[in-house]
Amino acid sequence: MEAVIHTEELTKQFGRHIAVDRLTLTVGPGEVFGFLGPNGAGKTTTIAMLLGLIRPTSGRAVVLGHDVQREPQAALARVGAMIEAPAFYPYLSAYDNLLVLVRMGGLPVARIDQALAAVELTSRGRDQFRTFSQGMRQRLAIAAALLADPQLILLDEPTNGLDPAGQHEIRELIRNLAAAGRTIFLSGHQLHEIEQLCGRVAILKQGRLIAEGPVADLLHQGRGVLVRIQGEVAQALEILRGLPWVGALEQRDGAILIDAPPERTPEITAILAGAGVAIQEIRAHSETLEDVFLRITSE
Amino acid sequence: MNHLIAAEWLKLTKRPLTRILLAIFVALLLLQIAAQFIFASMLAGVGTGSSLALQVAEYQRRSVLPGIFGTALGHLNGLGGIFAVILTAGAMGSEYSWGTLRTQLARRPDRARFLIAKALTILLLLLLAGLVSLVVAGLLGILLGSLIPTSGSVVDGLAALPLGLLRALFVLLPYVLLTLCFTIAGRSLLAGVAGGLVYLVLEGGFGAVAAFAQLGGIWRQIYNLTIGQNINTLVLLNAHAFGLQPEQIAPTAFESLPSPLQAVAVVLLYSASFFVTALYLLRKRDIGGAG
Repeated sequence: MEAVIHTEELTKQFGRHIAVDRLTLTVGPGEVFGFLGPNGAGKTTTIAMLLGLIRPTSGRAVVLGHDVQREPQAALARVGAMIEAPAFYPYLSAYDNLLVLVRMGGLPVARIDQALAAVELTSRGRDQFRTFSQGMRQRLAIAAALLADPQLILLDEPTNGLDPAGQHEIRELIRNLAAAGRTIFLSGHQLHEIEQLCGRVAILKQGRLIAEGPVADLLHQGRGVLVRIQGEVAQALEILRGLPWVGALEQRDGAILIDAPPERTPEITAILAGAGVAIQEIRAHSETLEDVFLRITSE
Repeated sequence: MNHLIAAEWLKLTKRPLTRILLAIFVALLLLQIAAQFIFASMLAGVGTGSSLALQVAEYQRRSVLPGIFGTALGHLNGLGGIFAVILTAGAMGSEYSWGTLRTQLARRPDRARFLIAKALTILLLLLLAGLVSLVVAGLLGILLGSLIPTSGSVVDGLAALPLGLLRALFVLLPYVLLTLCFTIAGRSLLAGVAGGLVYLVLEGGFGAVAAFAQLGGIWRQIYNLTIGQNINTLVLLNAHAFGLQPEQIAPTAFESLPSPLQAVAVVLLYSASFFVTALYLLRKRDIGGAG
């Protein structure tokens, strides 16, 4: 199937600073794709290039089969986006703000009520945007992204500033959108959220793609066995290094993190105990996406 | 294009700044007409043939029909220029400061159409301001006409209104486009207002060039290529269309103004160059977030 997003060596340089460095990425139809990276990693610049707002220095971005630079109208006709902070006219009501976008896009006015209902803002539709809380502004931005009945939705930190209930609502909304077959490109810092929602992720650091793949695979890389020894750990380390199926050993918070299949936990217990090592605690260890993110981005 | 203009119209007409500007603009027109009328009434008995008497007669003509239409259109081309600059800078500059330009161009990426729609909508609003001021002036002209004698044909004045209004809008066109240029270049309302107003001030102060123009020949021709001189031609045409004689109250050398044809061509040329520059800047530059 044709990729919904495809970038080839996409690069953006601001003066001497390379914001995005030769990014090659493919997102397939129906995917919920997480786009991660520390602040300043180039996430928003990448999204802006996908939307034709920022011109790449080199490389290309193809959205829904169309080159964004050459055929922006065709590429973006069925794309909804929310970039950074919600941006609307403060003196206009929520309804009128959406009406501006509907008129600009030549869309049916009926979409406004549908979009407001989708984010549960119907009752506040006639209130001015300037009176809205941060959470309501975020929801209105998502409503705006839904107006064009998009095949692809780009969301840049959609739950930023929302309370836990609001975050839950937005997550449910994203799930529903994905269930309806839309492709979601989700950028953010809420790693547990990305972990819950996304099938695949890409991690960006200083403009470069440093990891990409299914969330399950990334988490699998971080699987292992954690053992806490009573007393001196040197003997335990020596024994473990001698085992052919043990990879790296890392001392963390007074424990040893063993790069080994968690299924081997009973075997490790038996070997260490047989050698007279006093084990205080031993358990299978699995990293969260946050652990993976912190490990990869700090390398 | 129609739905783009509809979107711009919604943004601009619901904006408090637009309504405030229109209210101040109309209030200042009323003030101007009142001042003219009071001046003419106070000096109504001065000796005929004197220059003061000619001025009084001109102010009388400006206070009643059909000359009051000329006053309203002159107001649109005078102070209205400042209001047009503020309105334009606000319309474009706030898109940058609120980050709404990014929201909109992500949905409607054709920047040329966006800019054309914005400029057309601003001109439509200026047309509306012109119509409002003509209606206000017309009503006031009827009222004041019962107090002082009118001169000139009201029917001819009414017939001259459509062309007069278009001419007045045409005069504002380069200021609108120049302000768009400055706003996009500076990516802010402030840059637009500053650029537009500074140009308005500079234009009035082409003193050095005007002094050389007194030498005639090539100097006069160069001076007559400035935008202000060509606009003066169009403004004078509008005044004459409503029976006014600005020559009676202003010492300007009207006889040395460019021809109407040149005036139209030069104003068009300036406007086109400002628009092309604005479009070039908007298309070339990246669109950032809220500033």
